[in-house]
Amino acid sequence: MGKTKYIQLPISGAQEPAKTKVGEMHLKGMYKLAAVILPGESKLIDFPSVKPEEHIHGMIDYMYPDDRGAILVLLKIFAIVPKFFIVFIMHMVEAGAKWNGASGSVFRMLQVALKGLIFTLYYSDFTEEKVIHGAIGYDAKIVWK
Amino acid sequence: MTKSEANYDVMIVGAGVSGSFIGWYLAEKGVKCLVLEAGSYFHAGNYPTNERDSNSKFYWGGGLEFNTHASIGLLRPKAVGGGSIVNQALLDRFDADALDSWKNRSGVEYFSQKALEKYYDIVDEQLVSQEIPAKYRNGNAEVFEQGFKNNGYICAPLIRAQKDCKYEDGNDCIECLGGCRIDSKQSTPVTVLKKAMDKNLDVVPDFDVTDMQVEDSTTRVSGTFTNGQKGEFSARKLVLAAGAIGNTRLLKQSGFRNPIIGSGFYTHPQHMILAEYDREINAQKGAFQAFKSNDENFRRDGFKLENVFAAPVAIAMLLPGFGKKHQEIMERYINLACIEVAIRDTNPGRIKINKAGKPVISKSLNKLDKTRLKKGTEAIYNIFNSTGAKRVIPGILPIGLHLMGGCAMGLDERNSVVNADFQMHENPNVFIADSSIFPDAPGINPSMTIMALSVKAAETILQKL
Ligand SMILES: Cc1cc2nc3c(=O)[nH]c(=O)nc-3n(C[C@H](O)[C@H](O)[C@H](O)COP(=O)(O)OP(=O)(O)OC[C@H]3O[C@@H](n4cnc5c(N)ncnc54)[C@H](O)[C@@H]3O)c2cc1C
Repeated sequence: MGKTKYIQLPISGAQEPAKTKVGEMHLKGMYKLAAVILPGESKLIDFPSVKPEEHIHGMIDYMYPDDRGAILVLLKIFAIVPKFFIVFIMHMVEAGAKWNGASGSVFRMLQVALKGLIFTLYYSDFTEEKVIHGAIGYDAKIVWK
Repeated sequence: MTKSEANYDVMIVGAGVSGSFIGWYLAEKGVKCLVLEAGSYFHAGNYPTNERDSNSKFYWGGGLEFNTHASIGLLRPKAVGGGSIVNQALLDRFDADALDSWKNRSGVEYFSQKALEKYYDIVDEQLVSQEIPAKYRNGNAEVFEQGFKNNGYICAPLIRAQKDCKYEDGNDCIECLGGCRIDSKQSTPVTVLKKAMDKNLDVVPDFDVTDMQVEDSTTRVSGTFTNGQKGEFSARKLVLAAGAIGNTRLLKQSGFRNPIIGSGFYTHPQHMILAEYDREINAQKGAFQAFKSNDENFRRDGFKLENVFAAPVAIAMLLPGFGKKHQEIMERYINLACIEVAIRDTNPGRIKINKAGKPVISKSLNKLDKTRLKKGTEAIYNIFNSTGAKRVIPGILPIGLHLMGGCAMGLDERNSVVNADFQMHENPNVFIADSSIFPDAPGINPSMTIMALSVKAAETILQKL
């Protein structure tokens, strides 16, 4: 846009929202959740290889505070419960999300929140060689000439 | 505290599709305009290059918002350029059916193809638009076209606001859902907003307007920058162009009382239905959307179909389940085809705002809407089944991305918010012309009509300055 006219503000970059505090327990919970949602055992690399702790802020800092708060609480809970409990929760979420109306709403929100967190950090593919996109065949690009 | 010193004639809240067109028209006529935008300013050089950032930086709530039952995910753009940065830029003029429905509901005479033609033409002059070239259609488009033929349905190529996508270099337009990095898509910051900024228009990005005070000779708004700093701006006249949810939020927070504000909310709920094929489909390649249904029966039955696809995170979110099985389908990403059914919803929703300023949206499908969805879904199954799909996988997350209504236009103040001159009944110093003034769901891509109405509104505002 060249010589744009913005008053008062430097426009060199977008303003960033405040940084959320993400602790060890949150990260531990996230890894355990990911082990259920994306267990590996396939041609796809495992979740920890994408170094999700380095990329989580680009996601949760932008959420509404109450949504973010709820996710962080859940991650803390996942950090202390056994893995089979997380598996059970995920099955319940998938089943409950199919219920119509108000009864399914909490499950649908959980479905988006939990799968959204893990899938976003994984399938955005922050690996240098784009190995995840490579493995699934996602090769879309914009070429600069 | 940041305060504007400049003396603006018109202040516009929201630098999206409508705000940009109103600002352009007025700036061309020498009116000094200020546009305030909650989202950031991005351009070809700094658009996100990963899906996480396109979601979190370009949408309110960091990606998705929901209706109260979480049965529809709402995509609400937030950027200088608004929806024109992230949308597919598919352009359609409204047909007589859509405009007749508006005229009947609102009593506004100029809701006719003839009366709006002049404004559609002005919009056309500002944008380069092209039919998606047949050469760069992908396997998903082939499935769509063949399936339509096999079932005797009628489809038509899509028209998109794009200049030169340089497909021959290997460009894939799916990437431009996070902003077009070669400035081919005709987003407003490379078209009308750019022209306006070269003249009489200033833009303040990263500023969320949270309150306004409107008097006869001056309007003051206040709000907060993304970094937490407070700000205040003033001008003679105010235009709200913050979209269906944004306008409702701002009006309610500023104490406007008309009970109709926030009602009559429509979204064209879209269901993306996937299918797995043995052969490679490569739906992510080239011009990833190429066709729409153009079938009178579909129109009468209240739905439309388009071939569509999404990048990996979005596809992962659409697929059911988790764990190994989910991963296995993701590994078949290039074997997936996808068609969306968008319904012309008839059950109006309602937008309320909670104490934290967050939208709370009641919106559901009534019996007629469900019948429309069922018919559209059946047509998609027919298409997939007649083109050799191994299995059909309905997406689990319906999406609303045509957010319309909340401040409907109409002559009767008991059931509308703005009059035929785009002025609020409650306070004629406030003008609105964006998607929030839609009296009902047209069942057609809305942005070209938002642009046309915004030009008409700007013409009116100019007369009243
Ligand atoms: C993924 C996607 C694809 C789409 N594809 C198409 C398509 O192909 N064809 C089509 O016709 N339509 C399409 N649409 C819909 C189209 O983009 C919208 O209908 C259109 O952008 C609405 O225009 P608007 O001016 O009403 O609002 P917007 O363009 O959404 O602009 C509103 C702006 O106001 C800002 N705002 C809101 N509140 C405040 C506040 N308090 N303070 C400051 N700023 C504020 C927002 O951040 C936003 O930038 C698509 C939408 C999406 C999300």
